[in-house]
Amino acid sequence: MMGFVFVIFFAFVILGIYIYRGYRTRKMFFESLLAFCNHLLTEISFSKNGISSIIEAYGSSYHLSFQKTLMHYKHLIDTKQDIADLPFSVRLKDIEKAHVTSFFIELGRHGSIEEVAKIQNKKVFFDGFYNSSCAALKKDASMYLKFCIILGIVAVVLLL
Amino acid sequence: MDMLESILPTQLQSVYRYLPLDKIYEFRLRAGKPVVVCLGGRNLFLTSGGLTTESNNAIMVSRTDLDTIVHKASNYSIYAINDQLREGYITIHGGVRIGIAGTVVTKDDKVTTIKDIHSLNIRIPHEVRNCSYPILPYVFGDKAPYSTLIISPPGAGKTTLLRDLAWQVCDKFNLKNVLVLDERGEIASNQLGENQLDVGGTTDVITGGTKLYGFSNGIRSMRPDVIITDEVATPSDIEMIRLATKSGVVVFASVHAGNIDEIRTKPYWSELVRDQIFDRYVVLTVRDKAGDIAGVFDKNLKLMAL
Repeated sequence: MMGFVFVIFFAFVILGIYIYRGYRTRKMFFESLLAFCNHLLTEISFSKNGISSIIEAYGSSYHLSFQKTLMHYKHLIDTKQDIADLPFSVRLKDIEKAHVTSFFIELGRHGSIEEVAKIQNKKVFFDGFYNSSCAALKKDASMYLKFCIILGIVAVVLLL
Repeated sequence: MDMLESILPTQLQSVYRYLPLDKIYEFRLRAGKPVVVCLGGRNLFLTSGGLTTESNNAIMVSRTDLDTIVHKASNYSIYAINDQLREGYITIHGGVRIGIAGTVVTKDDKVTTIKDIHSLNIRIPHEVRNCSYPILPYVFGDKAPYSTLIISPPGAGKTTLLRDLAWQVCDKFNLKNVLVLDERGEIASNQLGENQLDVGGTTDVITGGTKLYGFSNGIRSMRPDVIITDEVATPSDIEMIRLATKSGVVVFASVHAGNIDEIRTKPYWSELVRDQIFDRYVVLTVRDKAGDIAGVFDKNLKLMAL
């Protein structure tokens, strides 16, 4: 009986951690996206390296959740395929998905001055997404984690 | 799939692989208009069934298609090739040159980029070994080649001829140092330090950069015996040729002109003729096919051969 009670308790705790990590991954995704934008701004302004070589140089420094999207994009451009749908290993809202996808579709379509301006413009949106993901992590994720732990305790108390 | 095929829209890709690419000089793509292919000097419409003189059923391309071609040709990084774009062309792998027509954006009287692209001219380079054979007896002396100007209207095969001349110089004059000044990357198509087209075993290639840079730095740093360069146009280019030949370097160059009389009367060029900077003048024509030789002239513009 005790074993079963502990399993129930840990199940709630793991659910809480899972939800928490989902929020954390969202935050890390946008953090990496912003870091990628900063790398693009530096490289486009100064060295004018191609997108593919910029991804090659910095790709491994980003969070895994963003790396997956980035590497798929790199594969598409290396094989000269059209960029339409990109895979996201993180839960994004429709508006966030639309902005990130259009960012990659539009990437590299302009001369350096315009390109830098476009990236800076997109960065404003991404900053907003990042800030809201930080706030959600701080407020909602912590709340869900605590809520799951309390649920686990309640379940233990009821079962005992 | 080669580089050119990979950047074309899907409807063109499906017919591209069945086309006689060794005979095709150009693809002309215009937004909302039928695709035209220049086959051996003759313009034909491209349909899903092949090439035809009828515009019915011809494949059409849109503005978006043209934008996508340029985007893909730049490896999705137009800012990285903006210097070329400003000049109105992009050179891609294999020496394929994409000429671009659109709205020119200027700032402080300088071209910053081209936007609203509405026409592309995709030129396919050809490596025609020994195409310079008919002129070799006139442009090659016993110990060294003669400085020669190739005069040709656009699309008559002057770049192909220059490429073969580079190879022939290496082959016939063992160990002569040849320097190719390949401003547009069309002669040798050097990609990442490797020539995509064969310009001979003793040839060095400077890709990109102006002719002014190529001549002044190339002579100092590479000590060439022969310099080969394409599409000489500006007074400074002409002046560099004068300086190079005066310092003992043989120059093979090309210029856009319809016939020898245009050279005789063109500003700056007439002075080169007067000063006998070039020993030979070769005039090309597109009478039957690209690369046809209309005449070879000596330094006094006296006809040597037809």
